[in-house]
Amino acid sequence: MSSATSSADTLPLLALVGAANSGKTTLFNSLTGSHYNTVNYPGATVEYAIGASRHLPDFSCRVMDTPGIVSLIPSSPDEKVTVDALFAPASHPDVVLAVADANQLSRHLYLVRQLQEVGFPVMVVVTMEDQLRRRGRTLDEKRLSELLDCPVMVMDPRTQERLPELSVALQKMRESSLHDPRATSARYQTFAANVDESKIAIVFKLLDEVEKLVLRPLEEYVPEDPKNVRTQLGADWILLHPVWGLLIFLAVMCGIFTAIFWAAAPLMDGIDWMFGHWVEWTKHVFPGSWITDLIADGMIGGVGAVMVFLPQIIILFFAMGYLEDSGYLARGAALVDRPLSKIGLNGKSFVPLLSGYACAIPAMLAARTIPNRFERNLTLLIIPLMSCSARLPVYTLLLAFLIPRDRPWLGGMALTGLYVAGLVIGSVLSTIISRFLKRSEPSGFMLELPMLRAPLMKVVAVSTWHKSAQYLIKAGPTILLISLGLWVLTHTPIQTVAAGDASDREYVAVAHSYAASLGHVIEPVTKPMGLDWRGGVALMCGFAAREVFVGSLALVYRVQEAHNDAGLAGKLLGRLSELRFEATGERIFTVSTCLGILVFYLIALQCFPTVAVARKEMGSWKPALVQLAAFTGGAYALAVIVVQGLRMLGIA
Amino acid sequence: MATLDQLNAHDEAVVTGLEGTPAQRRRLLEAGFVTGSRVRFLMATPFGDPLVYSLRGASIALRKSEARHVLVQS
Repeated sequence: MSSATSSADTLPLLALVGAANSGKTTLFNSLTGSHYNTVNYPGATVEYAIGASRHLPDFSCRVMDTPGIVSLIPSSPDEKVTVDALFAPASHPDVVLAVADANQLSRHLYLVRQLQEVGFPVMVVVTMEDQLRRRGRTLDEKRLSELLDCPVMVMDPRTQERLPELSVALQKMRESSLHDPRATSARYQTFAANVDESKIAIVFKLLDEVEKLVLRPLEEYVPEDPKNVRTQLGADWILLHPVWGLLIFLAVMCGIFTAIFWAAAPLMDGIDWMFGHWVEWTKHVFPGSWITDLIADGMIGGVGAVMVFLPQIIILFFAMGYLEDSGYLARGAALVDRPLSKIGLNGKSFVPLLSGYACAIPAMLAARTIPNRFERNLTLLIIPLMSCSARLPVYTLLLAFLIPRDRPWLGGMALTGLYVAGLVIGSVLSTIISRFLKRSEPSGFMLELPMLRAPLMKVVAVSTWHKSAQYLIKAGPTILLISLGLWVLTHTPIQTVAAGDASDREYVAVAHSYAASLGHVIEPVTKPMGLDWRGGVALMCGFAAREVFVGSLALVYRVQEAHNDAGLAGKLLGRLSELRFEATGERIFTVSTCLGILVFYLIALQCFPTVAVARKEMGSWKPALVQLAAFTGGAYALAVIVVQGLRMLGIA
Repeated sequence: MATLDQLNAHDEAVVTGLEGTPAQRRRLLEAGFVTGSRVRFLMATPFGDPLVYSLRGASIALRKSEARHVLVQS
C-alpha cells in the first residue's frame, strides 16, 4: 500500500466525481493500480479513498475517489462526504474528473454543469459507450467537448488504453487553470442558496439538446422490437418477477449465509489454531515470566481474537461487493423496500442490516446512504441486533452444550433461529419506535437500478480488502487494548506460587486478581442470570469482544492446556457440565443458565468499538449511550426472566 | 391530470409537473423528472411497490408515494 507522505501532499489533487455505478471506482482502480488508502482528514468527518496516480505518465498527482453524487446539493450523509471533500481546504481538488455514463448522458452531465458553474476545472470521462453501441448509437466525443467547453474522453475504465492521452489532457488543464479554491467555495455558497426549480429544468432542457447533437445512430443497427417487453426489461423480467424474483432473492440470501457459516468455519478454525499454537510456542520458548504471559495471552491472543473473524467478514463483503458490482444489490434493496417500510425502515437499510451480520462497524458506515434521518438512525439503532460474527463462537459453544451430540441438525436449526430472532427483535423494536416517534421529513425511496453486468473480480477484491481493513483499523486497536487491560486485571496483583504446574499458577493468579474481586462485587448481579463470580468475570471480558467470553470461560474455570486430541472446545464442554457453585454445590451451567446467556448475547451491546462508531454516525453521545444502556440492560432483564422463569417451571 | 403511479405497464408518458415538498420536488427534478421528459413504466417490484421506470436512459425504482407527485400526460 502506498501512503501519502508529506512530499506527496504537494502533488496536485485530482478528484473523481460522478453518480454511483458510473464506473468511477473502476477508473480509480485503473489510475492508481488499486493501491490506495482510506483517508480520514483530522477534524472532519470526511472519509474517502486516496491514492497516487501510477498510470498517468504525464500527470503526477494524487487521486481521490468519492461516494457517488448526482448533484452538489447532498441529500444523504455519504453524498455530503463528497461535497464536503470538494470544498474542504485540506482536500480541495485542483482538477475534477467527472465520470458520466453514455447511456444516461443528460442525467450525469447535470452534475458536470454544476461543477462548471461553481468554477472547478472539469474534465469529463464518458463510460459504457459499448452499451450505447449495443443500443444502436454512438457518441461524438469532439462535439460534446465543444458543447460543454471542456475536455471530454470516451473510455472504458476497465482498460488502460487511453490513460496516456488522459494524462496529457489533465496536465494541460492543470497548467492553464486559473482555479481559485476560495472563490469556488464562495461561489458554491451562493449556488447552494439559490437552487430553484426552474433553473434545474433549464439545465436539463439544455442537456437534452446536447444529447441530440452528440448521439448519432449507428448505420448497421437493427432496432429491437419495442413491443417485445422481455427484451426491454432484460433479466429484470425474472429478477423482479413476483414469484421468481422472490425465490432468487431468498436463494441469494441463503447462499450468502451458507458461505458465511460453512466456508468460513474451516478458515476460522485454522486462524484460531495458528494463534493458539503461537501462544503456546511463546510460552514454551520463554517460560515462567509474567511478561511472557502478558505478551502471549494478552497481545498474541488479542490479535488472534481480532483476526479470527476476518474470514467471515471477507466472505460477506466479497459476496456483497460482487452483488453490488453486478447490479443485483440495488434490485435487492428495491425488492425489500416495501416490507422494510412497514417496520419504519427503508429499502436502503437492506445493505447496512445485511453487513451487520458480519460486523456492526462497517454496517453503520454503510447506513450513510440512507437519506432520511429518522430511518437512518433507526437502522443504526437495530444494526447491533443482527448477530455479528463475534457472537458465533459463543452461540456454537452454548448450543453444543445444550444439544445432544447425536442430533447436529437441531443445532443448525437453533443457530438459524438465533439469527432470525435478532432480526425479529430488531423489527419489533423498529416498528414500535416508528409508531411512537414523529418523523420530521416524509419517507421516500428512489434508487437507480444499474445495468446488470459481470463484475470485475479485481475491483471486487480490492474493495473487499479495503472494507475488511476498515474493520481491522476501527475495531482492532480497541479490542487489543481491552484484551491487554483484561489480562492485567486478571493477573494483578501478581501472585507468587511456589508449587504447582502452569495451569495451577494461572488459576491462582486469576482467583486472586482484581478481576476476581470485581467478579465477587458484581456476583449479586450475575447470580440471577445463574452465573457465579467466575462466570461474571468471563461476561465482563466479553465486553472486549464478544467471543473473548469463550476463552475467558476457559481461563476462569481452569480449562487449560488442552490436549491435542480433545481440543479446547471439547474440554471446555466437559468441564462446564461439572462446574458447581462454590457455596452451595449446585451446578452452574444448566439448561436455563445457558439459555439465559444466549438471550444476553443475542441482545446486549457488548462492543465498545460499535458504541464509538454509533456516536459518530448518530452525531452525539446521547443516542449511542442510550442504545448501549437499553440493549445491555434489556438483555440482562430478559436473561434473568428466562433463567428464573425456566426454574419456576422446574427446568433447572 | 394523471400521475406517474397510474400508468399501466409499458405505458409511456410525458412529465407535466411535480407536487410534494420542496425537498421531494428537488430530488425528483435532479433525477431528471423535469417537465417534458418522457417516462415509461417498466414493471412493479415483487411486493408491488416501489415501481420501476425508464427515464433518460436509466431504470429508476420509485415508491408509489413519490410517483404520485409526478404529474404526467400520456
